[in-house]
Amino acid sequence: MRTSIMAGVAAGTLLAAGAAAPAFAVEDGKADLSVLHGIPGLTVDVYVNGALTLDDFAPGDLAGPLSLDPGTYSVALTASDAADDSAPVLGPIDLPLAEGMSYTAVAHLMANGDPTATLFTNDISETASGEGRLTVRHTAAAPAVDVWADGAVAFSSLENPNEMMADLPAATYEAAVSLAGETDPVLGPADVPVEEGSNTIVYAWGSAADGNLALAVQSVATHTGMPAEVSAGTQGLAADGDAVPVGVIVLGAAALAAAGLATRAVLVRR
Amino acid sequence: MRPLAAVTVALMVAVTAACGATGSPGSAPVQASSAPEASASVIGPVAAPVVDGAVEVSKATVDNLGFAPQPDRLRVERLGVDMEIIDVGIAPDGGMELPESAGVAGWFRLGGNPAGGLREDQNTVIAAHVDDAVMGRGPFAELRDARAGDRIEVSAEDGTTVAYIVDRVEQTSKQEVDFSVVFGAPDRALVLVTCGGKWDADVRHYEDNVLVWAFPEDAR
Repeated sequence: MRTSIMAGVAAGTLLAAGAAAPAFAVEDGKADLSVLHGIPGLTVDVYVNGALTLDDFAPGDLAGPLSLDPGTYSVALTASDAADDSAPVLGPIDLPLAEGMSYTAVAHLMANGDPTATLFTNDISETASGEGRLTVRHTAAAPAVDVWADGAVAFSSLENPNEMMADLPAATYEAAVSLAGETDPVLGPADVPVEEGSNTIVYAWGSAADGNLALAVQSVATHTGMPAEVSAGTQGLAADGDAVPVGVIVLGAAALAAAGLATRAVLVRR
Repeated sequence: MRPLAAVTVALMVAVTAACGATGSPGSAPVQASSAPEASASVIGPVAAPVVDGAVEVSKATVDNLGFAPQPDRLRVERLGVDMEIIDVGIAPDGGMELPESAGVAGWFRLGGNPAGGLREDQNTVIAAHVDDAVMGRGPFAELRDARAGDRIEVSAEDGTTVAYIVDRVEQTSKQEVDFSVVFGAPDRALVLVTCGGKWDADVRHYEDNVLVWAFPEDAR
């Protein structure tokens, strides 16, 4: 019991300093990694540091997030019937993961159609109250594109393998992708929810030449603030009366009896 | 105990809590019982990428984004509590936003959600005013009479319901409540929060928070 009281005192000290501790989106001392498969027509096995980690990983699949120790991981993709990672179809590549960060590793096509892998860092910084984050990533064998939200260009001339992002009022947006400077969608429109305290990430993947462009989406939690207090009463009607000084009781009773609730309501803020 | 008391008194001077900065910071649990137990039965996160089949894989579609339906109804049958829930955030003063009416509960949308979602391990916090000028005492005035074993139901806007079982009730001076644990701990607890204790008429705030700690019924 004494321990818990001390913990409370410590927390109160934080409040006194005016700092409400944030809630971190990544576990203390760890890194988060998601893996997205964005190469059409190729089911693979994923080896991490030589060990089979994802079996029969299919195009459009999203794995994770995995909570990992910080460090550099070697990732190789093989045919799905391979016995080991000695003959990878992609990689091995090194993924350096730093503590407290969120990543998505994407196996995808370059603009010219060759397969590659890109390690994206997901922005998990805190969003403003009422806002969420939208990130768009071009991982398709296609030229530069414009990304539309609710009928207007939100991100223009996005090229493979780049990303753009914005914090928007939390809502569901009708998203579409056109070739840069054009208006006919090559992808979408699709409803994409953007929620407070999260980063919704939209990928264009596949190949324009092969006619298999597609959208993939994921969402990761951002850091958030936490309330420093809960002030949950306005009238004193549910108070413990027994230990209140006599004067307070008399005053309170007099106020209730003489003024009445309706009058008190006028006096009370909110 | 003497050094602790000294620290506490110093703290009282330093803190200006909105819900009553004067008076005793004494912490008096209404009921005491066991410590949180839920985490023991929860499968922990994968510790390394070299794992066998434990990695969650899904199609990267909007339907699988991980957003969960919001809670919209709170029921504690034994206490006669049956109230609407709306979502709330952080108020400009740094405290938790609360519905104006004591008849409506606020769910902290940046924390845990009984239905799951991106923060499925984080505690779910639902709070309401203990009273207001229109209805007088609200349903949460009954919370201090909650006891271990009481059943709490939280329904979501998609019609699903998650049941919790009360573990303990705490009435604690507002200066001593560790809100980083209440809001931030990955214990999958449901914490119902309101005010209680003595009323400080000068600043029009209660001196204590009443917290009901409950854990998912299916985790017991």
